[in-house]
Amino acid sequence: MRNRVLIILGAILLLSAFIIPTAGTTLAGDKITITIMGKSNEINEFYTDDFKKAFPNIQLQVTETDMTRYFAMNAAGDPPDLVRVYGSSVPMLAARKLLLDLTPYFKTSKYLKLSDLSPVADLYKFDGKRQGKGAIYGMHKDWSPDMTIFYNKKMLAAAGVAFPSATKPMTYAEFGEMMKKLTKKEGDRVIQYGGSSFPIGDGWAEQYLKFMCASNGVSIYSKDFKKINLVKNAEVKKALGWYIDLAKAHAIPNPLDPASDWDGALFTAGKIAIQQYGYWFGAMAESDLTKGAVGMAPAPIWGKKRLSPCITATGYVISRKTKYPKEAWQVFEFYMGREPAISRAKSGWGVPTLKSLYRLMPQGTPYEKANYEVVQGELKYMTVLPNNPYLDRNAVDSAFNKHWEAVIKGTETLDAALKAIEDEVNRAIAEGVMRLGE
Amino acid sequence: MSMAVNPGAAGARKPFYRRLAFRKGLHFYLAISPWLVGFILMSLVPLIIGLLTSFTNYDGFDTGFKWVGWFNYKWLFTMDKDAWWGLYRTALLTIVAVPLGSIGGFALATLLNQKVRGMGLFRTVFYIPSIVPVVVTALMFRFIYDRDGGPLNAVISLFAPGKALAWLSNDWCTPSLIMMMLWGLGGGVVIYLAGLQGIPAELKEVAAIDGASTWQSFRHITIPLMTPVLFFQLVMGIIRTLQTFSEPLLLTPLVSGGTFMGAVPPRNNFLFVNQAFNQIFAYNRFGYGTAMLWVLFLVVLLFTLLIFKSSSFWVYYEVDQEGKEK
Repeated sequence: MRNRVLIILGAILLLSAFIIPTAGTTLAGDKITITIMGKSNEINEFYTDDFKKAFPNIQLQVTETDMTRYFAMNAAGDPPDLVRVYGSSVPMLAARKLLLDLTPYFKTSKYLKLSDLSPVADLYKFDGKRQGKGAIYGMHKDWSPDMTIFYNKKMLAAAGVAFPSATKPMTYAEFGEMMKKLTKKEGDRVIQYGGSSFPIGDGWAEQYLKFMCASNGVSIYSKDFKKINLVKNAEVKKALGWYIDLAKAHAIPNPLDPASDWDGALFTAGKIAIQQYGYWFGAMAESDLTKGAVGMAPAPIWGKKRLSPCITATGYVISRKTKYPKEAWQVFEFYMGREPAISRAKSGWGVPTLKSLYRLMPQGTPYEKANYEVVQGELKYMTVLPNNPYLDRNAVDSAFNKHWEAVIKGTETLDAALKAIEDEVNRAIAEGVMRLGE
Repeated sequence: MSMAVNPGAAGARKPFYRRLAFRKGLHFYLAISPWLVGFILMSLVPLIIGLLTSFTNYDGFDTGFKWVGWFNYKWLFTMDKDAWWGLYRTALLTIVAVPLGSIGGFALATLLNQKVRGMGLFRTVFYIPSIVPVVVTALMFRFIYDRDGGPLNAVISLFAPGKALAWLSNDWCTPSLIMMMLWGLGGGVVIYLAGLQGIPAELKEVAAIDGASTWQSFRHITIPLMTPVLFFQLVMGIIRTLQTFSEPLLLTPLVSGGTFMGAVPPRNNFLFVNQAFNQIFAYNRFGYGTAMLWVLFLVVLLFTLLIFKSSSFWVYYEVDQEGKEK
């Protein structure tokens, strides 16, 4: 009797291992579940009462953005229906046929007219070879001209430094000199960084380098993106030389002057005088310490051509393998073109996705109005710097990260570092080319 | 006359499913089946998939990957200087951090094994750091190590005004990492305490009667009887430290915030698993990264076998390995 009870209990335990994990995955009634991989604080903007009323047959399931999970879901053949991405990732994902071509949906959309999309939408276009044209695979949820300047007026006044013009951009040389002048040291400590720019170590160095080189009509990649050119690229060396010079002067956080927090937090804590970030930073730049003391200025000029690129353009794409493309598009369209988009436009956290919503950007305070004017001035210099479809967006920075401290310290020459980085990245590009069968 | 055999008759052979040995075995496997199923599905199958992946150029996106044979392993052994640097730094970290952790934990446990009022509180206080999640620990230590405003440099500047060390930079990142890892050595204290409390008090009493000092008693009674626990802690410490990955990454300062898939710790904290992570998530080289991790598994296995082999020279068991009392 006891043995039979034990056998039955064991069998129940064994069966429960299979049944329980699958119990929660059945659909509830007639509702379709759309999975969104994104930031949970943004998802609240999706799942409003307006949404539930408009789409009673759709329920949303949120997964926090996690690239390891995204790989796993793709490998399992069940990727999220909507995925939050940076615009710089779109060529790589589209080239691997992971994204749904949304062009037919945009053409028939009542809320998202192709002619009304801000120019940054080009970051979500890819023609199979080059970002910026061709089929449209997604859309940014908002955007910023990312190279603009925020400065602390009190710190500049205390150092006798004139405020940057709100209309005429500084040169990078002036920007660098300003940062050096604003740096304060006490013994080994830097008690005030002059500024922060070119954030080596964080995934954006490639974007900054592309921007600076493009200002003189130079690219870091070959025309077909199958090679990165760093060693024989004088513009690259000049740009990196600018950064190294500032790092040696302790004017910016860098591997030799490591800060315990990110530079945005240091700015709001009154430890950085000038910050190079996009319009979005304006929504958080005013802390208790910096309130009333923050100014915004246009993106500085590196070379002959004035540019003001958007390098992030965070947005959403729809997976090609979605089982519910129509419903996924409905969720996408709602978030990008209806009430959530209007709410985002008014928040001041980014320039709106649609040109018709620009008028909703906050201008209620002198600070907001001043920032709005700077952005309006930047719009005509807005440009899209195409990203490499054969590389992950982290690859170039990862290669740089291995050499930076040694280069700044002088224990490795810039040429040797660039050679090592070039070899590593070109190998990764060659693998990407091979995988895409080219 | 019926030729049928009565199953209950003496000498009759029972069907296999009614034999006692079979039924005992069945009960055993049913009882452990939840763990066994979990092990097979969550550990064994992923290990086999990982091994197979290491022979491919899989990039995580299922696009045009193919079988590459031993290519990944050949590249690792002949071309990847960063991996060998990482292995060297990992070995160095293990050689320094593990003995410090073991000896430190043992010393702490010896202090906490006193019959002193409030000892329970002390034991709790020393144990708590080991249960704090590693991300929280790293954030806390990044604040402590901050060159410009952290408390560690504030203390240093009391003795050397104006002096501040960049604890998170390449020059100091390894001592910083080791200090952070040692902060959690209270976790091993629990095991050492159990071992110390298992030492028969009579042995020490007899030694005291024979005139042995505290140090002699500690050296000739406590340490030998604690060698099995030291051995266990050494093996576990080596296995754990050889796989260190998240602490160096979490201590890496990132200028514009957060962590990102291409983050690379300072060169001296760039460990073997950091290189594997970098290859997988910054370069999408899943095949190569898993090959690296399988090589690490073999390195860990080799170290473990060497220590097991050495144990016959320095580990004292009260019963021999066949269960007979000495």
